[in-house]
Formats: sequence, C-alpha cells, structure tokens
Amino acid sequence: MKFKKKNIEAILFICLIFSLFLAVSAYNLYSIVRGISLGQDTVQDSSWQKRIEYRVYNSIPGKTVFNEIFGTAQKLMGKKVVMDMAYGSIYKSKYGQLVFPVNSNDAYIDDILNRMEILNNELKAEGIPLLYVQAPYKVPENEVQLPKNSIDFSNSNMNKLLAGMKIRGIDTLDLRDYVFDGHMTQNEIFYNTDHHWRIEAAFDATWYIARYLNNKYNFQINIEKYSNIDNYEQRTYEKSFLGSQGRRVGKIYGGLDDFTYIIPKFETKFLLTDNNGNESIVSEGSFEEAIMDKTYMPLDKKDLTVNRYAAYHGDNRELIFDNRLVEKHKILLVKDSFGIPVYSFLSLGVHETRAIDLRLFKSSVSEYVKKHRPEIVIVLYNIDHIGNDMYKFEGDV
Amino acid sequence: MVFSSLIFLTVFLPTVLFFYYTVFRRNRTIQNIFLLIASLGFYGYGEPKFVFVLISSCLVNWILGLIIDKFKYNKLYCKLIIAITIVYNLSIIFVFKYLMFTMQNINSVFGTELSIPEITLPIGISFFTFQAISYVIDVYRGHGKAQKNPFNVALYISFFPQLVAGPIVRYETVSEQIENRQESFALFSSGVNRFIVGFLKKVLIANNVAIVANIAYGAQVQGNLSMSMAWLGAIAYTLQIYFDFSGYSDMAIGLGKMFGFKFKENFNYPYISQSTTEFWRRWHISLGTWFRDYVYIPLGGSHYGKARMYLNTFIVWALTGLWHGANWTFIIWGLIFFVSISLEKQFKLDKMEGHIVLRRFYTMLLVILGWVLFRSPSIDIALDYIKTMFFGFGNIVDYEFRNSINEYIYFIIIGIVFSTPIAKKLSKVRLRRVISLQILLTIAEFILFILAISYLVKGSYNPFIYFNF
Repeated sequence: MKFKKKNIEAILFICLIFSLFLAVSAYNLYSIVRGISLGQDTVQDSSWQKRIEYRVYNSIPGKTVFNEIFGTAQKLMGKKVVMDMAYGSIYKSKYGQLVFPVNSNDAYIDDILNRMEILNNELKAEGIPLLYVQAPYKVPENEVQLPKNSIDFSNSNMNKLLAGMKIRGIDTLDLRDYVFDGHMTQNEIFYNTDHHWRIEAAFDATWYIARYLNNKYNFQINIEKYSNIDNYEQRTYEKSFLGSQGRRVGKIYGGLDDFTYIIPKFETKFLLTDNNGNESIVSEGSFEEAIMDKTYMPLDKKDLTVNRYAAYHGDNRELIFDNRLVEKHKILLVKDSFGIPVYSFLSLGVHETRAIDLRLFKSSVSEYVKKHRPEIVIVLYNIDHIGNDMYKFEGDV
Repeated sequence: MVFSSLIFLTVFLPTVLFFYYTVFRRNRTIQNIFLLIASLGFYGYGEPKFVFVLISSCLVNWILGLIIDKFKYNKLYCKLIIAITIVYNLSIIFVFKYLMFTMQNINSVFGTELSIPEITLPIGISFFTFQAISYVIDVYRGHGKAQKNPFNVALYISFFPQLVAGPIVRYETVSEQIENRQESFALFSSGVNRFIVGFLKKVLIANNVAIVANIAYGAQVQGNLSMSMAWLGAIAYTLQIYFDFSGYSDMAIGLGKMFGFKFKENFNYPYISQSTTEFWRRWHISLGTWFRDYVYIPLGGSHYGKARMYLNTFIVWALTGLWHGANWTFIIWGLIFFVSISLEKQFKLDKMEGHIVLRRFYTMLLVILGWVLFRSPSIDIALDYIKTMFFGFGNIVDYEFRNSINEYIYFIIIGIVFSTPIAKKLSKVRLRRVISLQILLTIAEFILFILAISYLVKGSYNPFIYFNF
C-alpha cells in the first residue's frame, strides 16, 4: 500500500514537471521561430539569468489557473496583502479594491519637471497653452483605505509633481479635487479589479475638464452634453470584467466588476483616423460606429479576459477625432490609458481632438504642435508612469 | 539556481531526469559524468566565474586523495598530506569568506589602514570545501576508497542536490554509491515525496514567515519595534530558518534519492529538544557530526581530562559559529552554545529526567535568542532587539503585530505544528482499517505542491538563508 501510494505521487510529479517542461520548451521554440518577445526584453538591463527566468515565467502555461489557486488560498486566509512577481505586493483596500502600490519617485520628478518646463516654453513661443491634468490614482489622500503601513507614494509623488509645475508656471488641473470630493463613492470611481477609473468616472471628469477649458481658456464647449447622463445609453454587463489587477490574483480573490459602456443617444457624426505611423485606418459614422471598438465589447459577459476599457479606442499611437457636428476648437491630448475615455468623450464637444501616446509616438511633440496648431495641449497622466518614456516630449532625437 | 524556482522545476530537473534515465541509462560512468556536468551547470548558472574555484577544489583534492592513498602506510607522509589538504581547503575558504573580516578586525584593533578588498563569497563554499576535506580524510582513514577517476571525486563534491546548501555529505556515506548505487522506482518515489515535503516547507512556510521576520527587523531599523512584534519576529525567524534549511535538506535528500543516492538525515525536529545539547544533535546534524569527527575527536575529544575537553569544545563551537559567517555575531552565537552545552554537561542537565516543559522552554528560549543574534547584522543591534523583547514596555502591542497576526497567523501556526513530529505520528493513524491518514496526507501534499507552484508563479518572496554559508 505504502509503495503504491508513493508511486502514484511520483507519477503525478513526473507528469506535472514534464508537462510544464514540454509546454515551456514548445512555447519558447515557437516564440523564437516567430520572433515573439516573451517579455525578456523588459529586463534587458538585468543579468542573462534574469532574462532566462523571465522567459520561463512567461511561458508557463495555465497561469490563470495558478492565479486562481493562489488567489483562493489568499482569500481563505483572509489576506489583504498579496505578493506579486511584477508589483511586489497587491493590496486589498477596505472597499475590496485591488491596488498596486506606487514607489517613491523623487529621483525622476525633477527630470519630469524640467521636461515639462521645456515643453511649456516651446508651446509658449507658439502661443499655445499647456495644461497638465492629473488623473486620480486609486488611493485617495484623505482616507486610509489600504492596510495600515502599506507603502504607497502615489499621492506624495502627485503632490510633488503638481507643486513643481506650479512653481514653473505650468497650469495644472488636479482631478483628485473633483473625483474625491464625495459626490462618488470609491467603488463608483474605480474598478475593483483594474487600476483604471470607471468609464462613468472618466465621463464625469470629462465634464470637469471641459468646464475648466471654458472658464480658464475661453473655450465654448457645450458642457450640457456631459451634465445630463440621460442623454446617454448606459449599457451595463454585470460581473463581466476582470481588470489588470484582478487577472494577477484571480477572480475568486479579486471578484468581478460590472462594466458599463456609455454611448450618446443624441446624433453624432465622426471621422476617426487611427495613425500607427505606417498606415492610417479611417472610421466614419456615429460615436458608436466610428469610435467604439467592438473587439472590446463582447456580448458574452463570460469572456472575462477582454479589456473592455479599451473599447474607447485605446493604446494607439495617434488618433484624430473629427467631430463633423461641432465646428469649434482643436485640442491635443498627450495621454496615457486614463485618457482613453476622456478623449473619446471630450471629442463630443470639440471639433478636432488629437491624441498621442508617447509610448508609441516617438516624434517631437512641439514639432507636431507647430504642424497641427491645436488651441491647447493637455497632458493627462496617471502617476504610475514616472520613470518611463511618457515625458520624452522631444521624441527620439 | 534554487530548487524552489520555476526554472529548476520546469527546465533543469526534467532535463536532467530525462537524459539520466533514457540516453545515459546503460552506463554508470557516463551517467556520473552527465550528473557532474549538470551540477557544474547548476552552480555556474548562479556563479559562472566561481565554477573554476569549484573545479580546482575538486581537482586538487582528487590528487591529494591519490597521494594519500599511495602513501597510506607512511604515517608521516599522510600527516603531511592531511596538513596540505587542510591548509589548501581552509585557504580557499579563508580568502573568500574571512579575509575581509580579518582585515577589518586588524584595522580596528591595531588602528592600521589596510585596504580591504571587495571579495564576493562563492555560493556554498563552506559546504563543498568541507566535503572536499572529508574526501581526503576518509580516504586516509580507509572509510572510502580513493577514486582513480577525477570525475567521481568531482561528482561527490559538486553533486547539485547538496552542493550549495548541504547537507554536508561525508565521503564514507556515498563512496560506494558513486559507482554502485541502485536506482529503483520505489527509491525514486520516496525521493519525490521527500522533495515535495521540502518544497512545501520552503515555499509555503519559510517564505511566508520570513515576511513577518523582515517586518520586525525592518521596524527595528526604523526604531518603532514593539515588544509583541519583537517576539513575533523572533519566533517567525526561528520558524523561517528551520523550514528554510530543513526544507532545502529535504529537497536535497529527495533529489539524491531520485538519482539513486542515499544521504543521511540533517534534521530531526530540533525544536522539541529538551536541552541545547539535544538541539545540536537534531539541528544540522551533518555539520555537528562533521565537526565532531574531523575536529573534536582529532583534537582529543574528552580523552585528556576535563580542561582539555572544554578547550576542544570551545574550539569546535567557535569554529561552528565562524563557519556560519564572518561576523562576530556568528562567533558569539557559537560560543553561547559552547557555554550552554558545557553547563549542561557539567551539571548533567542533558541527562536529567522530568520537567520536560521547563526544559523545552529553556531550550527554545536560548535557541530563539540565539537566532536573534544570528539574524542581526551586529551584536549591538541584536542586544537592542533582545532588550525590546524583554523591556520594550513603551509600545507593547502595535499595528505591525496585529497586522502580521492577521496576515500570517496560519503560516505561524502551521510552522509551529509542523516543527514537531505531529504530522509524522498522525500519518500512522488508520481510519476504519481501509484508508490510512497517510494517503490523505499524500493527496493533500500534492495539492499543496500545486499551491506552492502557484506561489512561485506569483513570484512570492523566495530567499534562501543557507546559501550564504
């Protein structure tokens, strides 16, 4: 009996490690043949061992299953802090929201401020104002939501950045002042399982931005378009969204989010140009037809891996929204993913909205501005990009 | 490379097992050469440049083994060769591990300003050097035959399961097995079971309680360590070091069995000991017996009177402390055990009966305080930590403590329970004649193994304490 029992365990062990071996080998071979990066490039500065380990890690099959097993164990133990390969820790807030901690980035802030100042001066020379819009992060400053003693510097980083910009004469709009003023709950502002704000919160913030543009820069955006949500269809898919944070811990630990698409009921007419640098794809039609990307709007809500947030046309190098029913205003938005719903909604009140993402757009922003002459340049960023290429406004020179 | 890593589990181990049991199955010599190459690859993956240190150690000790075998009837020659062996091996370990420490102390004592070179410690140098010494001495003592084939000596010294963190395998234990071991599926299965047990100890218990220990020691650095957290941190580290090291030993013993080798046990539930003497019979057994047989007994042991015995004991414990690292904390830690073991011997406490709870309490208190010293970067910091444990009344219970309890209480309880032989005893219980609890434990073990892999996939905190020694 004893002999057989241990044999069975050995057979299971062998099956498991050889299955993993075959899967890792096959996937690596496939990736080499097809020239697919397994993420090893992201650790290029590290040792060759780290790169190999990263390749292996990224070719482990069934990571979703392992995540669920791991997440279930964390849930059973009632844990509020979960270890993570990429982020070190993932916290669960008192509202059941998952949060990636943000490190202190003092070392980069001066460099960012200098870059912003240079851009501001270049735009000033062209007579074009620059506005920095600070998107909120999932951790509000005025309430302790994370497990106590959690290490998160998001607000500290944002405060330093905004203070530095004010000193350098750069106009700023801190959306935290608005979204955290109590008119929405934390769970209404952010998805529980994703680091992004909810589409509803982004829509609401777009009204705030539009109002600011009208008041401060004499724009004439029809903010009535944003003030009455009844003008929009709210298409909600309950328990249909497992965001980027949820995918790291599994749906059992993180839960599932409801996802709501906000689509105008009123008449809209757009020409959207999606320029990836090599070719331009042009879409024409209503807001839903031209702007909403159906790839990210599956009707089957069980398809949890779909990034529904990207339905508002995300991760593009350059987008040009041409609103055929609005005559005034040209805006350039330099943005990260928090800007995705903002540019889509903002385009409802602006004739031409251009949006560039500096992770993909590698030319000079000021040259782009000189060429296209927007009335204002808005840089809309979330705080977790400090230290990467998002502030390289001069492009690859 | 560590055993509890995805690359070991999904690439290295399956590859080595596959070639060992298929392509090279029919020829023991080729199998051994293959295991040697794999072992050097295993070591070189972590420390490419130090492979040459390892190879030179293998080569020199192989030659010394041949010479001592040739002159085994000439005592003078043999003693000379033993002296060369010890000087050579200890020189290697001295240069890499103790030179910086020695120079720092010379500078501090004599006020000199000798420039201290930056020397990186090759992983596992203390383990493979002690094995190398064991080879030559065991050949001299006739406890194993001299290997004509250098690859066999190299395999003995550098065999990957025990290479970087032990157990210290004595040559006499495996000299026959190198060429004449018998693989079987039963032994292989037993090895798999042992590997899984070690893997669970390491990944599920040691790595998680390590976080609590780190929080406590981090709080001390920041000056806000509470009394409760100090105790919790010390207990967590006590559990961490046991499950980390014994887990690694289990994995090493299990891997050895997978390739037909039978290593001796390295741990035997040390935390149930009723004296520190007993503790050291149960903790890191391979190191304790190594020092006993290669240092204490050759120095005369207890044969030349009490004073000489205490001197020999002192030397052994000072060396045991020093073996763990080039820092006064380790030396003092070793000497604390010299004092406690000597007192136990003097007053025959280790042979006393009754008062089991009291004796276990005394032993664990000393062991836990010893680990505080062991974990601390300096004696001052250790004393400060211990002071907080006993006199930190300012802030007895704080948030760190409550949070650590909330987050890690299961790991701490499981750690405490499994540091006793309770699971071993339970596994022998039979339920309704048909199903033994051991079968349920085996199923649970495999499920937990998958859970442990999920921890690796998540990239959880995964240090290895004994790599540094």
